Amino acid sequence: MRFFLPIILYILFSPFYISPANAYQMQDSSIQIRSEDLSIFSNDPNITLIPSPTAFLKNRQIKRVLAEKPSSLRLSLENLLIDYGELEATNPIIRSTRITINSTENSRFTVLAWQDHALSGQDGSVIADTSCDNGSCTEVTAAPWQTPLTYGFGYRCENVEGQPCEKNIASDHTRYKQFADASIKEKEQKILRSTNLTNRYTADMIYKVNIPASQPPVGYSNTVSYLLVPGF
Amino acid sequence: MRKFFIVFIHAACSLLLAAFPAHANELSLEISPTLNIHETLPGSRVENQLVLENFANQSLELSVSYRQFTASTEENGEILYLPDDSPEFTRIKEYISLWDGENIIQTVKIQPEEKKKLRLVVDIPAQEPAADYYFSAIFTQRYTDQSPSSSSETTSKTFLEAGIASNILLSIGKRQVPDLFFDSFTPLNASEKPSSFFHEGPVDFNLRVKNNGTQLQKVKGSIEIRNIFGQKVGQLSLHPAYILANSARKINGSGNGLRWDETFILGSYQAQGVIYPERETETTGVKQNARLAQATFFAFPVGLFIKLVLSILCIFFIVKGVRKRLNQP
Repeated sequence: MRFFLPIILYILFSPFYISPANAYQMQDSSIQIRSEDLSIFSNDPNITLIPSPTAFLKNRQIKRVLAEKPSSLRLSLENLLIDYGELEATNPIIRSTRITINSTENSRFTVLAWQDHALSGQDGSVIADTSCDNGSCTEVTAAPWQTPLTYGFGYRCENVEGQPCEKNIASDHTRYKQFADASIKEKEQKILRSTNLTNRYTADMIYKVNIPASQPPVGYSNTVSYLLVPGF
Repeated sequence: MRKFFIVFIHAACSLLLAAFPAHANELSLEISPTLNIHETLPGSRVENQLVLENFANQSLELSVSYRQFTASTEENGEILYLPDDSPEFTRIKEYISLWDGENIIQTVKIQPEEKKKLRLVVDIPAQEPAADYYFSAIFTQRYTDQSPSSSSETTSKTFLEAGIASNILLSIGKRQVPDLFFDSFTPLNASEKPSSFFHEGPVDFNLRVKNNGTQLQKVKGSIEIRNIFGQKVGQLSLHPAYILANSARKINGSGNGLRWDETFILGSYQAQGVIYPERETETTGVKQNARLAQATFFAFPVGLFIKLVLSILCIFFIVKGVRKRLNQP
């Protein structure tokens, strides 16, 4: 009995840890055309018949609906809160979020990102965006940030699947950028884009914050927004 | 031995448990379709269905907004949001409404695993002048627990918000004669640079097509490749592509059907590209406004030639050596 106990436990608890297949499929189902008036219908509740735009010939309109499957895009974020804990001087804190985009074949997209403002405390003090080790990184330009005596807040992108990260921050793990700051009217920036290599793209967004000893010891917060935008 | 086997089974089960880490997403939102095209007249009502699906196990409340865009300067089908909406689009926004069944809604609530079908409606007044408007319907989830930190809190955090968009290309007015032309048509080498000499295939082609008209155009096209003898050796079909009014579009690569996959190529080739508005072939079957362009390129398999010469030389010296030995007394 002792011998079989692990196997029995394994079988009993397997539904709790075997992750379900995260299937993302475009399914074909039946679409019928009624010959009397060439109207189209489907009994499949998963089929969405999208009204065609006005066209010259009704027949061509129907042909267009049948020929084009609707494209779709899915955005998934692993978590919605990045907690840096209590910040300590010259002790950089690094956290990450995984972003996944599923697309239909040949769908073009970009992901834009921006922050509402720099990390700000209740007392009005601010952790400025980093300018990196050589002072050159901005919301557009990436630069290395490795020195513990370089302060501020920034991010980088690491490809996991499909290589969606913009090349200037995916080239090595030391290069960081600032988020575009909406409070000073900086334009949102492209951080991910489709590369036509796959239908599934995954990247890790890495956030880094480092403060000097003179930074007031309060809690700081901001909001980073990601927007998945299709192409045409 | 038996105890060791039991311990081994325990360890194996633990490893298997650890091998399936949780990948639950706090947010997982899908939108379909991503592109909606309407070519219509003033005084009409256009509708398109938008489907939002929540794959996460938390309910979502999404705010809705509309934002005007133009073609990206990279001319690759990506969009570029305008910093501010034009006065004309600000007016058009007043005609846009989002419907859930029979109700106009300003926010969208989706339960876990729910698929929501909405209707985006644009009621265009009869006196609206002809013009094109390109905009996104943006659905944004807001992090709900953004309660202000108390003054005593010393932890720092970043809240994440996510949004997803669907693009609408709205062209109001009678259809005009398309004003399209080929701006460039070149073969590309493996480094994606224009080239007229190739060692081997495949060969990618790059088209840059300009739409000088004031209306959106959907173009189709093809490329025919002929060898020095005039024989057709390749035929490529361009995937249909949209070109916004007063903009250009670069179309290239295998993703758009513009890759000639032949690996062994030798000699002079001529590629003829033709593009035409898709609408014309639907209504008349004749490509009245087709545009043509030609490109010539040469191919010589240098690597293969060097290998061949080296092989022949090797064989020559081997045969020579063997003969010399055989002729020795």
